Amino acid sequence: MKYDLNRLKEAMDERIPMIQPDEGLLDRAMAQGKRARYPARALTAAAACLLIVAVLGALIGKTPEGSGLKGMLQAASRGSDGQGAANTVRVEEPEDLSSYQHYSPDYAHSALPDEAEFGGVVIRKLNDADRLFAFLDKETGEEVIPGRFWQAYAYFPKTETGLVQLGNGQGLMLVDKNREFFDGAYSSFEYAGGGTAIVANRDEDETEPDPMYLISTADGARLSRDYEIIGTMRSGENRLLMGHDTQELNGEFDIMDLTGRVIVRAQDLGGLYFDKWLSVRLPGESWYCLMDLNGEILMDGTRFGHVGMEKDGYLVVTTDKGRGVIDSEGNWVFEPGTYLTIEIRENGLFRVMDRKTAEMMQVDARGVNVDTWRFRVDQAMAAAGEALGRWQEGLGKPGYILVYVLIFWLALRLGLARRSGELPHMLLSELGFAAYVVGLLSIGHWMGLDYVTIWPTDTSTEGAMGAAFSWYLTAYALLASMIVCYPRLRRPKPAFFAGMAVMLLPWIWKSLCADMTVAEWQTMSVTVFMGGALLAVLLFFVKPVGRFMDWCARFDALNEYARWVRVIWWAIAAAALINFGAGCWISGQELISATTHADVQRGVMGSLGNAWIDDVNRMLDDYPEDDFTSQVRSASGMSEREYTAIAAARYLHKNGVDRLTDDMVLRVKVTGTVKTRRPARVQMVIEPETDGSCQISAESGLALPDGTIEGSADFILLPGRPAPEMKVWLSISQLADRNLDIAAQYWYRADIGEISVPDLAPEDSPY
Amino acid sequence: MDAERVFHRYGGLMLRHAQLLMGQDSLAEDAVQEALIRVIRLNPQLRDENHEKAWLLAVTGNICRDFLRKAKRRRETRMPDWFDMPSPDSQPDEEAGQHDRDARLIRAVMALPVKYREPVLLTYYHELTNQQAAEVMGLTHAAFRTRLMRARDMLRMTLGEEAEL
Repeated sequence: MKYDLNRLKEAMDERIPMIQPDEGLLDRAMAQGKRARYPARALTAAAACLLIVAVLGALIGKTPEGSGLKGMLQAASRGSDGQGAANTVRVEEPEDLSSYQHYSPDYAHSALPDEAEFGGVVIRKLNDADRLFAFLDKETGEEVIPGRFWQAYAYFPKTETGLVQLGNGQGLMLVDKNREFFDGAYSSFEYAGGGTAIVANRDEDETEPDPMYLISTADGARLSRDYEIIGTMRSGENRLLMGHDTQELNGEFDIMDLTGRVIVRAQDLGGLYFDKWLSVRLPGESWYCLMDLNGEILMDGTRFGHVGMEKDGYLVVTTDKGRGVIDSEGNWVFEPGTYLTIEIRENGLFRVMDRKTAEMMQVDARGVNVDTWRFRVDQAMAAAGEALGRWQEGLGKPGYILVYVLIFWLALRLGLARRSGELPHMLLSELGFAAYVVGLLSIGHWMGLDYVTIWPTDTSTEGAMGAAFSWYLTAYALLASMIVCYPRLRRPKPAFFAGMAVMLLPWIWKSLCADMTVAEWQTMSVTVFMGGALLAVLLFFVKPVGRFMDWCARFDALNEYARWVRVIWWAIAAAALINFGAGCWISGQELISATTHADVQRGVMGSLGNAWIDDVNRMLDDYPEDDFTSQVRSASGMSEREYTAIAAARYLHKNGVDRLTDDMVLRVKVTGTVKTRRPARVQMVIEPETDGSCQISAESGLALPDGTIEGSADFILLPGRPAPEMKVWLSISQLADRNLDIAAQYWYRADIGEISVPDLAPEDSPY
Repeated sequence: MDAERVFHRYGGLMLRHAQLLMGQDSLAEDAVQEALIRVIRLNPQLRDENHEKAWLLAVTGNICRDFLRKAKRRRETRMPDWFDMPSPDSQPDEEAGQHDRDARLIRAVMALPVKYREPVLLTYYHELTNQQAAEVMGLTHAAFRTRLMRARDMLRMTLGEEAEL
């Protein structure tokens, strides 16, 4: 039977009655159309943008320490030279013939050849089904050990030894060319370098952690005693091992070289410098000392508050007299106290702050001022960032957000944002502007002095943090520009170059400033974001195009009518699920119990030392009024002591207190025990939950499974102020395969208690 | 784009498109009202009448789909009360006249999921070219042709294997 679709219109018009447009419909539309619904949309869009950026940041940022932004932040927080940088990864060393030849430790044999030969022995895959390997005599072809099969193997050509994984999953064994098996089967094996490996003996008692020790891969000889866990630190060709045994050492650990020789027992390992020096905090000491690899204390026993960073043969150190620089031979380049702050730049130059004039200069190793154009650019940008910061601080966060909202609103009211074309892009432009506001909000959050003052001050940390956030903001600015640029699909080139500029800006900036500091990072963030947003807005007004968006539209990922918002929500939902799921899973796995005991003391200054109080008071005396803000903002290169002293002085100054006394300093000390289901590293954090105090230092303890933990934090509590409620929480890192490096990939926060700090302020306080 | 001019010039067209997509007169009026609100808010400047018509059909179609989604409608739209004609899957009558064939065809079209009904309506009712209809639906030309082809296949299945379209 023939049906004619071409008659469809005629037939429909004939059979389906048409509705006549009613004038009332137009009137209702006119009335509703004038009602603005921007705030709700803008809020939704802002939330969407923020989450997209978070997802992008997480997706883009990949670091060896962990994945995503969290990984970068963790890497940043651990620093490049601190104890946290310890790791025991399987290091690929092409130049080192003792590295693995073949090894697939997780029973996935795809990387293993079916047959390999070493030391007169042939390892051959028996069958694909079981994927087992037999150990055969090369000449006779007979099994060396009848009935024993291997699931995986590795070979160390230099020592002609091999590592086999038992077929029944019962552990790992080291074998040599003479086919002799050494005693014991290992539950883990990590090549440490230099012909040594860290192993753990497999133990039948699964409730107890397997002890770890160092062996020689040449003959399996034990090189160290048992430890609960062993981490490594590498610098250049040198490595150090850190053996932790919490039960015996109560948080202290042995520092060993690769021969298993204990160099020193320490409370903290600051870092390994010039491949030959260690900065170590000895048990019972609150200062670091430098020692060589033989354990001999250097620099005439000079006590350091902080050691690092190392660059181009120079090392920045901090003593009780201030910050100084030493070279790799142990000679002072700048003695402590020469400058107020010192930071190593590239090409053997130093950025310093004059002690008398507080002017920033760039000097060479002789102290000669060599101010360059590049440095002047840095300075100008830092000044711009500081000016913006002052302005934001003056307005307050709500104030400057309000300003940007007003700009946005005005743009809409004046019809600027409606200058469209063919496409109904109102939602898109709203998203763009909302992204702009949200970006400023987030920058304000991180730039806010309240946050800066309590941040750790290791310069390498700041640099890593800056690098991490440059990714974050780049992704964000790119997204914002595309959103704003999207409406017209006519002129691809401007939008393309805008996107490229936004993407390249951080790299350009970073090339100018090799060691990014807080101030530079702040400036960079603002520059990148403001620049990106400005470009985007400008291009929006000249009808730009996003070729990328065009492609997305063409392939139906997005279409021209803002329906791509759905994609955003999918991404948000997925990210939320992943985050929550991972968090729940980890938290369910790790912490079994934690008990704590809090002790609040007064006038104890921990590692900063009581001299720090004099520093603060001197700053209160010396610095001009309102200068603390700029001091904190240009805090690059300061030691922790200087930095916290300035922050504390600023805090006191803001609160009208011109003198710090030791009874205003509180130390909250928390001790406790933690029990985890699986090996985990537990770190304690103590922070004030309510305003009313200034945190000036924090020392967090480190606990291993089922161990004790001790943390402390110092605060300034102003007289007459209510004491803050303190929050104590644990940061728990999973130790997968006892590998500290992997541990950084997972962590979660477990709140374990609140502490009420007693109001210790004397009633007859003079303030 | 002036809303009043749009209403007087394209109001009937938009209403008809919404009516045929949703099958409910009251919903169709709501959809057109919403489309006019968007015209007022966005005030798009379009090149010519063809673009205006395409843009308005697209916006109306999007709103209709949103309405249908919100109403949790299934793919098959309920037939309106005023539409009483032979079911398309009733036994085809060789002797049936053009009148009956038209009725079955309309019923089959209206029974298509909105996703497939829209290309049929845009092509055969609004008489847009494939390129124009693809733009209205936010599809590539190829994707639109695929969708239209599937719609015709579905019609053929509904009307019977012997049906020729």
